[in-house]
Amino acid sequence: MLEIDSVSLIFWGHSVLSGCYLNCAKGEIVGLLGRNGSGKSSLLKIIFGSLKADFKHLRIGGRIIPTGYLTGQIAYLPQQHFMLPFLKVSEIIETFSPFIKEHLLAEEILTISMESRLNDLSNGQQRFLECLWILSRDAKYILLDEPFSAIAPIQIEFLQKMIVETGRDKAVILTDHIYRPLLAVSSRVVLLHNNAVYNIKSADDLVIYNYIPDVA
Amino acid sequence: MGVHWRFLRLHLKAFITCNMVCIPFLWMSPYILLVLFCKIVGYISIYLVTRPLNSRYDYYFKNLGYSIAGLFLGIALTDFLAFIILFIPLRLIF
Repeated sequence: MLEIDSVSLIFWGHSVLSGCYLNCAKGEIVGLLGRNGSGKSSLLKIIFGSLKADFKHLRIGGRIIPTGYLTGQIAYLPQQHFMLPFLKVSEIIETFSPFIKEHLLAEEILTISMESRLNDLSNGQQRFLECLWILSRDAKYILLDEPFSAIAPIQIEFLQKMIVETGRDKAVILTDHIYRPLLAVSSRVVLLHNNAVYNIKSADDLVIYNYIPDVA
Repeated sequence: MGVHWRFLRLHLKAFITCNMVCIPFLWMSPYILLVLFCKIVGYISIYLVTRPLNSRYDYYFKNLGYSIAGLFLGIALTDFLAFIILFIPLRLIF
């Protein structure tokens, strides 16, 4: 199990995260929601190790971990593009897990040439490939920061299937403002609000915490 | 995927250029320790100069479980060891 607690992050005198707790076990998909600036992305970066917290207590299987990515057990999809622009689509697909590769090719989700380079693709297509690349890593813990943003509905549906499949034998934490696909795939949803993590039982709870508008 | 090779090639170019420029000067230096100190200063300079180019590899390598600084250190150590093995005996003989 991955656990992080007592996280403290201060930017320019403003407390972004203070003492929150999050955990995720194998076979679980945790949806992390929260308003802009609530610290969702910062929390994922702190878990991964690309952002240094003022204080944190990160444990994997009960062992304290100083830098997540150095364990090789955590994969992280950042908000910005990170794959190298000179790579060809075929080179990227080659490194996908057999399950993802098989379904991607069988369902004809990609409408681009295999010989195209990443920087020739649209923002959404790049994002889609990056997300599948992360899901294909050997890591036990997968962190996805806005995987559904800028992606076409047909690709969102495909991603949801792949996230659910990946979540069967890995632990997945994902965050996105496109909350409907997130709620559909998550086995547990938490809301980061006022520096605390609240368990969300239904969409009504999101209205109570003023995350989504009350449409009734 | 050739990403590792591209990363290595980027640094090999920098290291070879640095070695070609520095070795004649270092050869004339009377103190071997000063030569080694200059090499270390050279590594720090290469790291700082290549840092903007390295940053685009950052998340890619982190997702494979290693850091850019660690990779750079590995390449620098190999260069440093090769330098000690090749340069110092020649310097001591001549």
